[in-house]
Amino acid sequence: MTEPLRVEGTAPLRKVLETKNLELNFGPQHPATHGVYRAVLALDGERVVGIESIIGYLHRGIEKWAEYRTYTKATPVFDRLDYVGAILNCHGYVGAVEKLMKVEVPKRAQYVRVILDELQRIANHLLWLGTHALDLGAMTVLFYALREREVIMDLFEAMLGQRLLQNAYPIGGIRLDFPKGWDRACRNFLAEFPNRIDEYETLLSTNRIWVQRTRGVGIVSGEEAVALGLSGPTLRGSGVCFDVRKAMPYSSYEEFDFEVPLGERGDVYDRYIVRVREMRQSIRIVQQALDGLPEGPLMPEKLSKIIRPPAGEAYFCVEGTKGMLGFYVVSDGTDKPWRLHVRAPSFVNLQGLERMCVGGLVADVVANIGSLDIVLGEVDR
Amino acid sequence: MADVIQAIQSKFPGAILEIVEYQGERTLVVRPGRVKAVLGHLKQIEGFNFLADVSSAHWPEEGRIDVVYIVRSLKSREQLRVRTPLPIEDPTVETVSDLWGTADWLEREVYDLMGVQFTGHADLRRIMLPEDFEGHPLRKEYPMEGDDEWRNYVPPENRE
Repeated sequence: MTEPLRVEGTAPLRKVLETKNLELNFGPQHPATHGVYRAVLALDGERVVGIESIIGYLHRGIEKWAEYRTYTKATPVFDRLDYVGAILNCHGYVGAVEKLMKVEVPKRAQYVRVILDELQRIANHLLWLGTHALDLGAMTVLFYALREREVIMDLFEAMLGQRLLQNAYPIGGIRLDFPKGWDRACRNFLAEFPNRIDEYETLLSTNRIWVQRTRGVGIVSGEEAVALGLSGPTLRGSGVCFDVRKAMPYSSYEEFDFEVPLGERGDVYDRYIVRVREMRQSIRIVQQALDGLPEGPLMPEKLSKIIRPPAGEAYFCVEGTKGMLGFYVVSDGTDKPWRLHVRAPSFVNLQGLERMCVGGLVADVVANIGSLDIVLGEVDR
Repeated sequence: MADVIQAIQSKFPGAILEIVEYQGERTLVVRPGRVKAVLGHLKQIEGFNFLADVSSAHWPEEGRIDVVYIVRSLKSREQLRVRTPLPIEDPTVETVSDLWGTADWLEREVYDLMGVQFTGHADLRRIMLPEDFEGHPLRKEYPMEGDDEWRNYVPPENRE
């Protein structure tokens, strides 16, 4: 507390002018919340003393909806959870059903899935990078990032027929092989993209304004991050090494050589740099998968047209673009899921916002929300 | 993993009702009254420091609601599922939000959509749905479509 203001010959002003916390509503329609997310901030001057998240504006009841559809028909709706990382949602869902049914996905299909997953991760991180920088006033990055994202979108369109919500994988494998010339187009992109990342880094990583806006802001220690259940780049920015691709390898990830980038201080800058480095690792993975792409079938031979898993339950996780994306499928032996729960990383990570914001400045709330990389379609489901 | 289960069995006799293994996943079915003690033991003694998920499933014919916890040890890379069957008449279980901060919102979600009461939870409110919403939509009796869907809906002009 500062000393009360004193004007010569009068009583201290604090007795006359009492200060109280200001309640500020932020969102739900605000460009920096990246969707319909509302926060009520309690402010003491410029300091944030409390924050309450209000979510649910985009709740569509996807989990309930899926209980009334057959396993195949329910697939496309999960693209709508994290709509900028749709392929990974699809992978999580079909992976859970495959696990429950004990379906062995053919090797070639596994590799193709890895390629598309990692391209999707890059596309997501590019959109995140552009909008996060835009939030903090660095507009240029957005144009560059969307330019490269466009190339990936074109690759998706050529391969899957859709750009954003691709309904990428059927249960069991993949639908179609790469179209003619796709491999070369992808390799051209991979050859060029590291230079592009260097460009982004010259714009941001050593930019004094960027560093001042992000260094030491929203610090979460590793222990706190684990206690709050954070995952993905948000957790790794705090220096905790937990990547589902390494910890619980799926879809042949154990065969690829890649590193898990870690931060040191757990601030906004570290979460930024972890994601940028992850893009470089994703390129390595795609390159290895393209080089080592095995021949073989795309779908398993013995897979009935009607998907009817045995009664039981399975939990399958993928490393989503935002973190640990888990699908919990409970089957009663019919062709419809009895219960389908999604562990949405954005939802759990958003809980960490309070820890990041309280005690900081009100201007840093936007930086913290951006550094979490939330998608409200996934938070609200 | 086998010694973890043995330790629980000797420390909390009768707490584990069943152990299910499927596709490399292990599920402990735990008596509702002991679930917090078992989870606390898993966290503090066995190093399952990461609560990945809290979920639920409604089984109206068996008259129960299952609450499912997925805990993970980041060090030993083991994952364990703890399931507890609650009676449908009184689906109440102790909160674990004091053990893991993660559980705060996850339990609120289960309360909101499934109607499970978590005793000791500091802030058990609806999270996804509006506060004046009636019913818990993930219960099986909650209708998906048809006339019943708008049963509780009062148009704004008719509201008091």
